[in-house]
Amino acid sequence: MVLVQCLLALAPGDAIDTLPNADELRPLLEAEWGLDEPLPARLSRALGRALGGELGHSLTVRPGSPVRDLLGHAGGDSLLRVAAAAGIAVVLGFSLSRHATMRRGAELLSALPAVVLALVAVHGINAGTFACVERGWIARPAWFALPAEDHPVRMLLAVAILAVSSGNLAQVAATARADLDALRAAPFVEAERARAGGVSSLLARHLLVPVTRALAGQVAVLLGSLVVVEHGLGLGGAGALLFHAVRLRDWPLAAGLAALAGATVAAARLAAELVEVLIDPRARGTG
Amino acid sequence: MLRLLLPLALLAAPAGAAGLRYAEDQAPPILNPIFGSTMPEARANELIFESLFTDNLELATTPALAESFEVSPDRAGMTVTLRSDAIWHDGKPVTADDVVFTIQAMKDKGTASTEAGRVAWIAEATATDARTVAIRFVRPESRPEEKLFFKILPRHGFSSTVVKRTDPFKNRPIGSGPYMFSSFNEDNSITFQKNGSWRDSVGIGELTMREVADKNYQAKLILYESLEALVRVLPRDLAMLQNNRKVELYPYQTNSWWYIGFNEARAPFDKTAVRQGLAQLVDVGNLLAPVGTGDLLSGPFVKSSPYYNHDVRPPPNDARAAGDLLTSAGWAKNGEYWTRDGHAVAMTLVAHQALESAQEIAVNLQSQLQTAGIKLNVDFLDDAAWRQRVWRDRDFDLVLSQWTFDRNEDIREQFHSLGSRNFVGYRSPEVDLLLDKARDSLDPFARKTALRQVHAKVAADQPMVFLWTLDSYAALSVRVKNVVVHPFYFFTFAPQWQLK
Amino acid sequence: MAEKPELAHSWVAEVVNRPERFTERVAAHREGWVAFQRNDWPAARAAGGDPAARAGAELARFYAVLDRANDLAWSRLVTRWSARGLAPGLLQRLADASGPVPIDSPGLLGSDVPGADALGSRVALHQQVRAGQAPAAALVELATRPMLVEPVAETGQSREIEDPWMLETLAMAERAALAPATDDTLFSGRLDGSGGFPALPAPVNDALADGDACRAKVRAIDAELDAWRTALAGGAGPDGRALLDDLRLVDSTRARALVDMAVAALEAQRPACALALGQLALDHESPRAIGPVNSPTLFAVVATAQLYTGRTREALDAIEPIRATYPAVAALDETVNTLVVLEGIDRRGDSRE
Repeated sequence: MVLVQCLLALAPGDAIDTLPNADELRPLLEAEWGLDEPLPARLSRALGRALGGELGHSLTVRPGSPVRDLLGHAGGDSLLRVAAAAGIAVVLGFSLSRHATMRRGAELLSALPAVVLALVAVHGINAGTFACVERGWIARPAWFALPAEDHPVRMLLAVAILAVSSGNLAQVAATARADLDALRAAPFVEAERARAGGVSSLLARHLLVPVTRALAGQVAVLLGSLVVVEHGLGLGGAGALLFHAVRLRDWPLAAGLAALAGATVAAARLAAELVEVLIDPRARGTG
Repeated sequence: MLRLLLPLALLAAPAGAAGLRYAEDQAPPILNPIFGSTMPEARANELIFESLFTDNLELATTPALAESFEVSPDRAGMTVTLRSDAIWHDGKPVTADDVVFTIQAMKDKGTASTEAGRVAWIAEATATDARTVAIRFVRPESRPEEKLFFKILPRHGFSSTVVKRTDPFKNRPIGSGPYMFSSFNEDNSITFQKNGSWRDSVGIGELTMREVADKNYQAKLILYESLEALVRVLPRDLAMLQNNRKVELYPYQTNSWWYIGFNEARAPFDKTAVRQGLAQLVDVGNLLAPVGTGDLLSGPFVKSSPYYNHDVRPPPNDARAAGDLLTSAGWAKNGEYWTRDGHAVAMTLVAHQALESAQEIAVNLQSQLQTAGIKLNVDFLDDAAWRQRVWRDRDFDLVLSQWTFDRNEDIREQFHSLGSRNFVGYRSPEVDLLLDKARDSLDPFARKTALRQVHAKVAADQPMVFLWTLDSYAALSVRVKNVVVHPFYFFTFAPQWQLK
Repeated sequence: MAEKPELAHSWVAEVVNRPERFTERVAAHREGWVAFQRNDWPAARAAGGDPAARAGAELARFYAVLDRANDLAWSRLVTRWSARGLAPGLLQRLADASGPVPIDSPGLLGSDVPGADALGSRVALHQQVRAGQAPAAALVELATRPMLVEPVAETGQSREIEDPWMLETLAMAERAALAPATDDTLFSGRLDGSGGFPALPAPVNDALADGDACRAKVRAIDAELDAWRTALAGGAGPDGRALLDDLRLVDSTRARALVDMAVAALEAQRPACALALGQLALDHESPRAIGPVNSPTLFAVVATAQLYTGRTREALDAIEPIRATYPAVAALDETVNTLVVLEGIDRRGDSRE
């Protein structure tokens, strides 16, 4: 929260500058919007209110709307996308870990910026679908190009791009690969193989810890990709909202979004630690 | 992934278009005409709100909320009688109090309306009865109805004449226009429903504004039949749309021109010879070529303008003549590079990052000046940075931008020394006099003559390199009938549109 | 007039399928035909023969269309001028509510008229040109300057008054000089062999709906032309295809046909229809330039239709591309300029970045 507000304060221009008669409005709005205060005072006041659950109101993106309401609407959709992307990364990552070529492919895709993947995917799928519709091969699908409502297919596209471009998929595959090799060679795995014949579930259980740890480390990157993917695909969400908040110097909204992001990263790390505690008895520690 | 998608596509029900969908680069954050600042807002407000007078199909002034009016013999005031059938979207009647309230709110310093200038000529407004407004002017006015085009707001929507952007009205704007606000949607789109109680019939039941930041994608969407209207087509998309039989192009006049402005408050751009020299280094035709089709200009009006001085030619692209001018200003050519006071000349150009084609133009300009021996740095700025650096701090050497004027093409704010939009800092007492004369003159010949002289003088002083005007087109699906587009507000005649 | 063009019998089909016929037809005045194809009428005229005759016919129609616009512009200018209570002056001597007064009106050359001598010599020149006693070029030479400058005592300024009869006289002179052409189909708007062009749809009372009906008609024509273009290209040899593409035969013929229809619409008092046809004929890839698709008459039709539908400022956009090539248009341009300024003189200006 502090970092985002500092960065916004350092950026040229402020929220009042985004209004057409800025000079006329400045004397009135500086006080109202807290822009006449020195930054440290503004920061501490904002933090204090945030700790009390008060996130303020949007200044320029949705003038007057409570930031909490905006986060509620947008944050839910975005968190769902983030969770789905993480889930896909885990499932596919495990599969890809066995195939060196596919793993390499995932690494290459992950190297592409999210915006490139988003644009190529959107335009490619739209153009291809339109060609099929024009030829009468298929009926115009409900999810096609700028549908009236969010559609599972668009959601799937966004999630897939998130999973791949943010490096999650490659990271999970790489982690799974590295740990899998070590686990396979472990004596307890060999013993289990000799006893029961199959070791898949044992391997999976033991891989879960490093994989969730890797995922938790990637959540911040995932959230960053969210801004690009949502804005590029025209999806409503916290990422797109952050883009507008920064562009329009809406510091309460940007701060609220930063707080949400911070909370998400913290929750992800906590979840990873809980998984570790549940699965690995050594992590529970001694009294 | 496609294997997963195709079956879904086959199973999905075909989507039908409900109403007319149009695209804007940026959704209006607020629907309140007294705070209107952007064209998307102006267009949306045109659907919801009405004014006392409006343009008819022939762009002549015609009563809208007004039923009749009378100007006093001394032209110091007027009375306006409102229509008896005008009602707000919530069912309440439009009354004289609403008109008075709107004027007072716009004038109230606490409101800080962006539109306050539109009522500066009104000294006082009073409601003499429920349907009659008496307006007293600051000075005698010959045709005051021509100035009553601002939108009227409902008094009952606000608690006082100090109107704030954050007032609850913004969540549920109430107008009297042909369309009612229906919803702000989660994807930043806005839906409008037709006002069944409007005085005339409204052809299309629902309009939806969709936010699509990428103009290129907007053109594709209309081809995909995901939109029915584009307000403005990029020049490079014209060929694609022209050849498509499902889309029709409607040209309209935006009185818009592009320029590269010099910051005259900063050396060396305070010297005319430097500005003229730099102007002659620029191959304007070459800058335009990748952008689209348009007319090259020699001054601050579009070529078809009544004020355009056809005797004034754009400066030639002449490196030798430019060199002579720069040398006369004290510059020296040191090998391949120009130097000033012993240092290699380097300049910074700023441009708004949302300005279409700005990147291409800036890169080409960089290359041209580099060849000529001048280093050019380019900064692309977002809204707030633009306001601060260009409007507030005047922190730039060169600025690349465009101006759009309504059909009055009033350039006073841009070129008068007291002009609020004269951020290049141009100062010319002669031009000030001519602009004042043009503003005050009611004789069209006098106004034309004065502004053509302004063109000549401004071209000679070269505060800007005047670039071009581009062709403006709207694109609409062939399913939309009875289309007439208002050149500035776009949707003024939308009630007559039909969707087949 | 044909309802549905029989495209297979058109001159386009003939030259594409038999390019040697094209070579024969243009052999005599090749340069002239090249100029005529790109709507460069002055150059076509200079080449003589059929291209010159065809260019002359186009010019006669061009000036006649613009003359309509001129009459309307003058009538509106004078009406608005009186309505504003501006001092009566030369404008109201030269025109009234129905347009410019006839050149032989009594009292036009009264000695009380400021600049009577200049006006008198201009009127005399008009009469000579109309009678064939002086070349039209003598009149055109004077078009880029105002006919009269009227001093205004109250303001110390002056008013530049344009020639209100310029276009009428030029149209008459061109009509009088018309020569028959032996080849009147090559590069014409005739979409079929019957010599007609697509008929206008039945008029609709409402102007907007009439415009729409004409748009629908064009879409129907385009549907036929699209299929025909594909068939032509498929059946033609390399030379035929080169002719089809390089000369843009289908596009330019389509535009000429639509202009023919638009002129008929203007004559039938259907300006909304004429405007729709003109806008649909325009080549939007170079909308400000005269070329194989955009003829001067196309711009003239659009300008006139805009004026008739009250879009005075938009009419200037259509006049501007033809002003440089046809100096006579300058007089109309300046008159419409004055009208635009007068119409908006009380309005407050707005500008946006």
